[in-house]
Parts: sequence; structure tokens; C-alpha cells
Amino acid sequence: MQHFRSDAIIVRVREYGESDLSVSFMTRDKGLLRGIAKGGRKSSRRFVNCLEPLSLVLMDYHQKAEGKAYFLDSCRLVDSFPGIRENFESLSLASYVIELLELLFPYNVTDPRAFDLAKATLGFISRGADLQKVRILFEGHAMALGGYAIDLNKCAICGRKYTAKGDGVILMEKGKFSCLKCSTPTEKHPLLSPQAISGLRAVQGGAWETLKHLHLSPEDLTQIGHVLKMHVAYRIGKRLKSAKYLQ
Amino acid sequence: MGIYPAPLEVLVDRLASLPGLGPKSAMRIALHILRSNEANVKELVKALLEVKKKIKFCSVCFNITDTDPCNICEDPGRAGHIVCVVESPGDQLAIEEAGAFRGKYHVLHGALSPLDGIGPEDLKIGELMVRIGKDRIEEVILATNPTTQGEATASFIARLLAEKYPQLHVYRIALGVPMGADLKYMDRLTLEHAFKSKTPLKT
Repeated sequence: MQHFRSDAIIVRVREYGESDLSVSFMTRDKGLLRGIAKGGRKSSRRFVNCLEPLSLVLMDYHQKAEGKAYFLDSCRLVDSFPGIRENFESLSLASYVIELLELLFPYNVTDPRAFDLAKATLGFISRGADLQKVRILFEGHAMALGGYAIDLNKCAICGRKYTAKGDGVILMEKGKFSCLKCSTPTEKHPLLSPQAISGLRAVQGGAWETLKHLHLSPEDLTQIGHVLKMHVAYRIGKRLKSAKYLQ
Repeated sequence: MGIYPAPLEVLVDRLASLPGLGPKSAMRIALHILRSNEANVKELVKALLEVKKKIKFCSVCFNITDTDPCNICEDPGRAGHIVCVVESPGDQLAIEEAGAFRGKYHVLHGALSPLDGIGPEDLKIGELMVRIGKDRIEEVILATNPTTQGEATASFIARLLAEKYPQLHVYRIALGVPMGADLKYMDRLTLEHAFKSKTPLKT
């Protein structure tokens, strides 16, 4: 039997059997996991106030054998992100963060940066940061971590290197950039200004800790937000449940 | 092929799909039904069918009832201008059993949970807004559960009410240390809430 202790973000909690709970949680070292909290519905000591979705906890758990189910032993609340509960917009964005990361980093796909991104984003939301900006920074960064960054280095058609001069077009179906000589902006091929392109570059490639200082004008935010929304829809291929509540 | 006869396995499967029942309890109940006489089993089946046929939602408060409006909504002895908003009929029942509230109720049938695709349109929030204007409600007590979803639901409703009915008194039930508890054993979140919800002592 192997015992583990990890920081974990509680993702989903379901009733299981008579007094147990089935818990999905995201850890830094093992990615997304699912475990059983025996007696979790009645426990007032081992899991008190901990098994709440979108909470950060310190979790003790074990696995009887490799490949077998995880069992939760106890939890201690580290951060309940109280600001998330204060309004529906914050709850919706926090839910979206978790839902998108669940899809990009499913069970058995581990990337510690995904956990760090989730933790930092939930913290920003809880502290009342600008939700539109947080969403854009998160989406751009998460998609890049998941291997779906939009290629902004050169035109996908003529191959010319982009030198941060002039508007560009995003070819949604390819997830790539095109210069205005090769493509015309349409509903499916949205236009991006040079400032928005460099902003998106920074969002996709910058260190997450430095992104909160990134200055983006309202126009840049609108353009990047529109592109990322379409990009997520194209790449993920389905509408996320929480996405419809983000407006 | 299972180790039990097929009809018994079907019954155990059906029982185990009920909330709060695991396979072991389901088997225990199934064996009890098997041992019971036929008249008792028929009574059970009849009760199950009748509850499905006769129980409906009250058109005013959306609680479960066999009369419409329900007994609580029809009770003239209750304060009609105060409404307590709860997530589920079970929550309403718990408050009613405590006997601590003599107003009327409004059952939302859930809480906001974007992660599960549950938004305001899936709950009885629109009906609450209409009811407050129609029934001239003066006070609303938001008694949703102190969970992430319950808290967000209470905040959402409070904001809607403040926008639409600025004169309305809106309260949140107190959160904090339960009666008979020992502070030494309280967790951080509960104590934080308890201090946020401190009340002046009347001397």
C-alpha cells in the first residue's frame, strides 16, 4: 500500500454508496485523480469543510496497489477561495477554469504547470481581479500548455516571418496566423491588431507569474478574447457546460 | 450469469441505484422483501405508485405536496410576508421540524453549479421574483446550504432582489459555531464565518 500527501484542488464530489463520497481532485504531482472518501458524508473530523468543489486542500490518500482506486484518508483546508462564492460570475469562471483543465489534462496526463495555473487563477478570481482579463490570460496559457498554442511566428500560407508590424488574421481551422496579403478577415478568420498579436504571444508564452502585470488595452482584450473563445471551441470540439454562463 | 436468481439481481440493482443505498444495503432490503408476506409487498408497491401519482409540486412554493397550494402556503396562521428560500424539499422539512420559522417557503430545487451545467434558468428563481411582487413579500431569508454552490446561489438571488425590489429586507441565515460545540475543535472556515457573522448582545 502506498501513501501520498499532496496539495489538491477539489474538482467534483458525488455521493457514493451509503456514506461515502467519490471525489475528483487535481494534484500537482499526479494530475487529475479520482478517489473514494470512505465515510466522507458523515465525517466531521477527517474531511470537515474540505470536500467542497474549487477548494485547495492538503490531502492524505493511499492506493492499495498500482492501478487500483485511490482512497482519501483525510484533508486539511488550505484555501477555500471565498471570493469565488460571492457572485455567480466568479463561480462560473472558476468552474470554466476547472472544466477546461479537466479536458486538456485528463486522467493519466500530468503537468505540474496545469495545477499551478489552476491554483493561481482561482486565487486571482477569489481576490476580485478583472474577470475578463483573467479569463483571457487563463485560456491562452492553458491552451498553450495543452499543446494548442496559436502559431503566431509566421504566416501559415506564404511562410513569411511575422515582424510585429501590421494586422494579421487567425485561421481558426488551422489554429495558425496568416498575413493580410494571404487572407482576408471574415467571421471565421478574425482580425488581430499588432498589439493584440504581441499580447496573445505574451499570454501564450510568458511565465504565468508575470502575466498579471501584462498591460492589455480594452480593444486588445476584446480582440484576443474573441479569438481565444473561437480557438477553444475549435480545438476542444464541444461546448463546455460552464461556458454559457461566462457572459 | 450472476450468483443470485435473475429477478433478485434486478431488484438489488434497482434498489442500489437509489441515493444513499449501496449494494450491501440493497441486498439486505431485497432479502427482507423476499421474506415478507405478499400482502406487505403489495402495500409497498401500492405506496410507491401512489407517491408517484399523487405527489406534485405546489404551484406557489414548489415544495412537494398532495394538495395545490400546499398546506403551508394555505395556512393563514403563518406570516405570509416572510419567505424562506431553500434548495430542496428536504431542507424545508428540516426547518419545519425545528419549528423555528413560521413564515412561508420557496424551494429552488437545486443550487447554481456551472460545472454541472446548472444555471439560474434551471432553478425556481424566476418564479421567486414573480412571487415576491405578486404576494407583496416584505422579507426574504436565504437559507441555501453553506457550500460553494449554495453560497453563490444566495449571493446571486440577493443581487437580483436588490436590483428589482430595493425596499425588500433580504437576510442570509447565520453561519458559524453550532450549539453545544467546542471552539477547540472548530475548523478555520467555520470560525471565520462565525466572526464575520458576530451579533451584538442585547443587555
